[in-house]
Amino acid sequence: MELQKRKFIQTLDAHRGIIKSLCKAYYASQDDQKDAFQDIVLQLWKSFETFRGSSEISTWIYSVSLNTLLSKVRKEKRTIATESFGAYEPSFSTAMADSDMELLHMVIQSLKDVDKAIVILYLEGYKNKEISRILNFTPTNISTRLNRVRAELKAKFKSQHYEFKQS
Amino acid sequence: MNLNSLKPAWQQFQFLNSMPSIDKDEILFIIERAEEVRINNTHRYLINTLMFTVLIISCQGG
Repeated sequence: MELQKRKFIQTLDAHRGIIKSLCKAYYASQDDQKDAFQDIVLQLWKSFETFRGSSEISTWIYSVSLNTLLSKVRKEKRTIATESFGAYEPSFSTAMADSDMELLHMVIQSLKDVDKAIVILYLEGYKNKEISRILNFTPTNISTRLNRVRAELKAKFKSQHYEFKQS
Repeated sequence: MNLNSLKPAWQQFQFLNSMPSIDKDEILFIIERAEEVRINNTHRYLINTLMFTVLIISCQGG
């Protein structure tokens, strides 16, 4: 058991960037991020024993983390709605010197929960089929949602001098 | 610019968030507390079942 725990901590440590980034993408306040982090760690630990290495560890971490976050925000929907885009947050602000980072921040904050997960996985380089497997959607659904997101972003950021191409 | 052009920014964001190492004690606390809760719940469930059984037997006049 101790060996298993050590192995788990090593795995988490090697992928801490993914987990913390996801928490910051979904929650603005540090307390909420900490809460989300704990929930994700717990879910990862619960499924760690059954993880057989059928996929990459990072894919497993994305899958468990995003599904945990999505069910968490679904439960808290009313609370989240009150702190959406308007509360422009400290979470990304440390990295805001870079304009691409600022744009990433605005894009992420403007997306709906599920779309956010899809876009994050897309940015990570996953194909539609893999995204559909991770989030339990059909590949067609993912493709449709991605196209809709691109169109929405194009419209939303056009007025702010950012140009989104449909690619 | 398209969605693909945000990929480096996402990588950079991840890198920035990986700066402080994970606190091992915090992780151990999270998973060990969960184990404690699970054990306590099982214990409570067993006691409740036992009490319910005794109560049912008593109410039947046995």
